[in-house]
Formats: sequence, C-alpha cells, structure tokens
Amino acid sequence: MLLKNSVFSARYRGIRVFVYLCSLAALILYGRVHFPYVTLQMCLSRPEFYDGTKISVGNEATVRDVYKDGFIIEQLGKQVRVSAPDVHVASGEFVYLHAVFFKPDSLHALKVRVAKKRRAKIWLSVFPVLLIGAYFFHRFRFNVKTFYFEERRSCQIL
Amino acid sequence: MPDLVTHTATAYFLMRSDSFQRFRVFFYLGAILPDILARPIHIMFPQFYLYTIAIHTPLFMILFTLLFAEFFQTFRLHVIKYLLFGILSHFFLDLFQKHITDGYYWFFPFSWRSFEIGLFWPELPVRLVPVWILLVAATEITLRLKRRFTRISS
Repeated sequence: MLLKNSVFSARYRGIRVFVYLCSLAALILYGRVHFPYVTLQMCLSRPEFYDGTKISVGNEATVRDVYKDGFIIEQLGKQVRVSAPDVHVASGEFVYLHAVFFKPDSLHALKVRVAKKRRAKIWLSVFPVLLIGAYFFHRFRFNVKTFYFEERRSCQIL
Repeated sequence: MPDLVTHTATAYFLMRSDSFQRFRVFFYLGAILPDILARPIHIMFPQFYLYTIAIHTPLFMILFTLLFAEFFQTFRLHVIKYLLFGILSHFFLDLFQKHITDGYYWFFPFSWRSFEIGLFWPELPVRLVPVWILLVAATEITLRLKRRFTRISS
C-alpha cells in the first residue's frame, strides 16, 4: 500500500530506470575525467612534461623482449624500454611496475611484479560466469512484453 | 580480484543452507558482478581502462543493484538484499589483496584513496582453485547422500 503511490511504484519505473542509468553514466565519466594519477599513455603523449615523473604501470602491460639490463613492455600498442637490471621476466608475461618515466619513451623500474598466472585466472573465471548465468536463466526468464524477469513455474519455491 | 571460482566457491558456502534456496542465485550473481561488469571491458579493450574505474566501486554497484531490481516485479527487496550481500562478499575478498599499483577506490567518487589489507597477490588464489572445486563437490555429494539416507530411513 505504501509503495503503491510512492516513487517506488510501477508508475514511476521508467523514471527510476532513467535516473539510475544517468547516475551510472555520470560515475563512469567522472572516473574518466577526474582520474588523478599519471598513466604511461599520458607520459608518452607529453614526454617533455612528464620527464622524471613516478608512475604506476598496469593495465594489460606485457613483456615483448628481454635484455640483460631490462626488457621492453607493450601497452595499448606502444612499446617502452624498461631498465630493471636484476629482474627475471619472460616474453609474453603480464607485468606491473612502479617506475620513473624518462623522455622520450623509457622507464626505470623501482618495483616490478610479474603476474604469472594472470592468463589462467582470466580463463578460469569464464566458467563461474557461464555456470551462474545458466543457473539464473534456469530459474528466471525475461518477458519481453513487460520487461520483467519472471520466475519459471517449474522452479518456483514458495 | 581473486579469480571468479574463488568468489563463487565462497558464495556457495555462505548460501548453501536450504533456507536461502529461493534467492541464492542473486547472491551468486552479486559475488561475481563487480568483475563481470568491469573486467571484460578492461581486458578486451584496455584503451577504455579509465572508463572502467568507476564500475568496480561500492557506489556504482549499489546503483546498478537498484537498476537491476527494477526488472523484477515481485520480491524486488529480496533481489536488492541478496545482490548487495553478494557484492559485499566480493569486495570483502578483494580487500585482502595487495597490488604494487593502486588498489580499489572504495570511496569513489568522494575520495581517490585506496586501501587494502594486503595478504595475497591477486593471482595467488588461482593455485587453490582445485581445492575449492573439491570442497564444493565433496559438500554437495555429502549433503545429497545425507538427504537420500534421511528419506529412505523415514
């Protein structure tokens, strides 16, 4: 009864969905615009400005080539040389770095971490998604007329 | 993030009781939701990484839960409750990780400070996946056998 005529009633459903969607979009844009840290891509686009800046590098950076005194990483199609004398990495591995950027396109690593099982983690994570998705759609079906999920009769637990 | 097998196994043990049978699927969904919304974009399209920062945060997840619940005519409050507790279980496990880059922004958009307890690297739980699978299978088999014996003896 209380919900019947309130803002939570079915009458205002469209408005609520619109408000939630706008809020989510606003948060995503806020995160994009106000991210306060310097990224490798920012350094590469303005090398003079960011020369000597300490940065963190993650975001799918992979090792391309390995040398005696360092290695080359690739991130978003751009390759950067990293000097890291005592670090053992292999080509193709995901790495996370805390490093100092030097113009035009090199890094001096302060800390390096190799994410050895990252690929396995990504692939293993697909199975629970499929399993829970199948369980969800086994329990519920989407009614395209009403735009509501409905509990399947065969699965109703009262 | 620990892998989603670890998140799902945790959710399974928390929700295994028969009293949660009707709505446990929402808890399971909540336990993987922050990662299934943020990570595929992050992994497949790393150029959009900065757009995914907001997704793996508590406020975004609360709003998403409210949006998702709009697609249920009945038991909407149960959907919200179970999803939110599932999401809470996800964030609770994430809290124990350590990163050399930034961790998670728990107070986004009000603060960019990240905090984590730092017990294990994100890839470490992958080694324990066989253990989780065995434990879940053993629990499920034991409970089913127990139920069958109870039925036969009664």
